[in-house]
Amino acid sequence: MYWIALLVPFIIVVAGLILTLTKRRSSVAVTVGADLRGAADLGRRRSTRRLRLALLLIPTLGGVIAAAIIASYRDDTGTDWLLGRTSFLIITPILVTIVTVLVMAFVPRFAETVSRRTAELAVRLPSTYTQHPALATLIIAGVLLAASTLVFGVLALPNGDSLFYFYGHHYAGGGGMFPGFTYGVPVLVSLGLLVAAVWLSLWRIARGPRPTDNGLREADAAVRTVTAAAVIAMASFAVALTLAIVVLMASIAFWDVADGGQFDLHGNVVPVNSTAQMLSVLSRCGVGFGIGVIVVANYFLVHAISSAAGAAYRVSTQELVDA
Amino acid sequence: MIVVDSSDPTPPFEQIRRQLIDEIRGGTVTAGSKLPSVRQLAGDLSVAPGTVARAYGALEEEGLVETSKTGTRVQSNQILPDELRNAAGKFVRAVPAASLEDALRAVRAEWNYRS
Repeated sequence: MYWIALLVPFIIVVAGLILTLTKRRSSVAVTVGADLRGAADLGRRRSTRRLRLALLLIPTLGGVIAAAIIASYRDDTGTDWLLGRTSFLIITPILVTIVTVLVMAFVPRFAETVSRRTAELAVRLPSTYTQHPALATLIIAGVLLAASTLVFGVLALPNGDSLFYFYGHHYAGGGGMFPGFTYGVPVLVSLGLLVAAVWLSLWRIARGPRPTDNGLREADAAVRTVTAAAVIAMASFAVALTLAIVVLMASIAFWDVADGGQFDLHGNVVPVNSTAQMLSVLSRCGVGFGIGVIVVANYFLVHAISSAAGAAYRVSTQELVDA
Repeated sequence: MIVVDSSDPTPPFEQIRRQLIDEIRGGTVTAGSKLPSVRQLAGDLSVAPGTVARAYGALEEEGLVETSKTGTRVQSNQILPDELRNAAGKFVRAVPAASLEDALRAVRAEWNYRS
């Protein structure tokens, strides 16, 4: 299962490379009165700092968890783990993302000193600052992850140990670590927690107090839109990466089974039947699909980083012109 | 749009209540539509949530809104007739420089003269 842990530095390196090659999009231009220039600049700096801090948590937490698990594989001290270490590895992207999106939720307030405060009577919902196609993509990815986890859980057979499920196939030889319910239940629970964290984060982003000045309101809307986009992209990254891990684990196990099915227990070649052929084709398709989903996950990560790392808006000052 | 003016001696609760009544009776907030949550409105206006909750409670007592688990909604039967709103709109546009108090005083005087 080392390959799962190795995905973390791989993804960070790939995301970093893509990010350096990606041209930054121009940010939103916001015009404010000269007296509010300071508040707009300060709000931008605060939001950028907050989002960068949240981004720093990704490699920090991910690296610490992955390193701890790899170290425990190398030097097993017999410590009891709440979950299997492989389970921890599988849900690491989701756990890291839960913390990240919760930190992103705290949108900074703009400093205003006005005696007249205004508020619109429009209800702000978690979807107010969210791009609907991005949200739909996240929902589809979540449904795919839940569905594949359930399907693999049903397909898995117990290996005799009531806690661990491996794919113990009836063919001679073959088989491998398969994402049955032992791995599937933590994935489903963490997926549920991620959904709750994303909803809470979007709710917090939408409901936070808005400034009174129109220019600052534009700036505030830009900050909220960028933050919501980063939250959705981060969640999509975590779900897609977990989906890729689950599909790759299953496909590799299937591949072993299909290859093992060509030999009996004594190593003699046996005729390949249609089930083994189907497994062979499915496993290769699964590996291709898993690699493709890792690429998509990288896209989401780059999108999250590029949304959060840059300034949410540019400030220009509205000069008073004498009539 | 609700405005709370801290330099106004009128308590914030009363400012919010009056403006909400105007928005509802004037039809700016459509019947059945949902008002923002107490926390959202209080946050935007920088007042205590209790102030907004008290204003919403007063509106509920007057039958202008109803509060349920899903939030606070505008009642459907409290909007002023179109004829009255159009006439008021024409009046307000005709006297752009007048303050609200002066405009109300003028309407009251005219009303008394008619009756």
